[in-house]
Amino acid sequence: MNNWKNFTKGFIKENPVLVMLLGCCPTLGTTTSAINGLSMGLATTFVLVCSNIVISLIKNLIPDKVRIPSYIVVIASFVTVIDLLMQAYLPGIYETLGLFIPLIVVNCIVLGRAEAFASKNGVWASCVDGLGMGLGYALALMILGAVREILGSLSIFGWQFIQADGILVFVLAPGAFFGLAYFIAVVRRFNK
Amino acid sequence: MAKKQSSLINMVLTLFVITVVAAVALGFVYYFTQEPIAQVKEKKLNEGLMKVLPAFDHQVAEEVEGVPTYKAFDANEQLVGTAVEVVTDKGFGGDVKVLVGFDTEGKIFGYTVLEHKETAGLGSKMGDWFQEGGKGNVIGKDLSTPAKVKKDGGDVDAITAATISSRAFCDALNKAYATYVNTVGSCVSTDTLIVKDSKCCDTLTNVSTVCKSGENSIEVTLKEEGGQDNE
Repeated sequence: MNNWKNFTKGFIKENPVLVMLLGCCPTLGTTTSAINGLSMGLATTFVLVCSNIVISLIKNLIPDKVRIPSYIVVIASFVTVIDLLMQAYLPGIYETLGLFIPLIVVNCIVLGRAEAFASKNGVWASCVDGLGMGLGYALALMILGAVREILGSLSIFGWQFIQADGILVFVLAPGAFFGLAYFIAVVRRFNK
Repeated sequence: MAKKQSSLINMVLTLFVITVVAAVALGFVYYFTQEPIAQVKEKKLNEGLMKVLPAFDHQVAEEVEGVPTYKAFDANEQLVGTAVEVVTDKGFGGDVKVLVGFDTEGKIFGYTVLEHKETAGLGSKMGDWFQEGGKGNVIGKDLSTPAKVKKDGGDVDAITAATISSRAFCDALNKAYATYVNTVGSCVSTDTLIVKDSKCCDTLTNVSTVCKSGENSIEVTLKEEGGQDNE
């Protein structure tokens, strides 16, 4: 498998949310608007790339029986780092996403990639895999967020195009399920 | 390089080393972000104060029964307004933190929602809804009759489909007003000096430092009276 394939598989073929159905909790929770979805995706990408790199570097030093706790410590550390960095330098985005940042620790995508890919592949391949998976996740979140924002509050990236109330249910949790379900159905139709 | 054996000593050592490295790294990041984070918080607070108070020169922060209050003075040391930072737990999604500014007559001059976890698109509208020009405008309101949403018999227009968030907001306003009365209630205006409740006497020491210049002498007499009553 070459690096390009490693990179692109995260977008459609093995998209973490749409095909593997991993990390649904932040997906449903943060996609109330396009910008929230995108920021959450990018924060996850950062953690994914960093943890993939570190784990592929130390994979041979970790005995098999304690690999999961070791991975979790690595991931949790990176999540705390990005939490602190966002608080310090991106306070605007932190205000809306702060609640969900600690949830990246328990996001199955991060641990899933660590276990399925980084613990078996080299540093470079793991880095590319993390980047591809993360960006694929960010893209899916952004599209879902955009759809919900357009239908729910009649705006896109915060820009209101019609001064009226949208279909409220799309901003609420049930709307996230509707949106995600249709999104997955469409992607599966074309993925065959 | 061969994989390490899962012997007890290997496992303990590995976990120990990983956690120590992680702890040191986190300590390092925390140390470097501590100052920017504090600055961001201060900047946010100052911006909030500018929004909810009339133009002021400097402010004095003070804790009244655990509630942070900020008194704003103009260049002549004249009190121009008081801001109270209140937290209410009546929100739909958790605590709601609001900064409410009162002018010298005790009317709401402005407010800003500092923190909330209300539903996006519904309760989250509270940042604009109750502002001047919003549908549930509360600016200029005198809270000596507590704020209530219309559903509860009050006169505040609740956010559509977010009555609970609106109730929480009213609760925050009332809490802020109670604190405001406790701190400066007795010098709300110079001609009608009413001690709004007995707690006021305890805080009168604060009041005399708060009400600068002309009002100062009046406060001192009140304080003496309060003392005599206690005897």
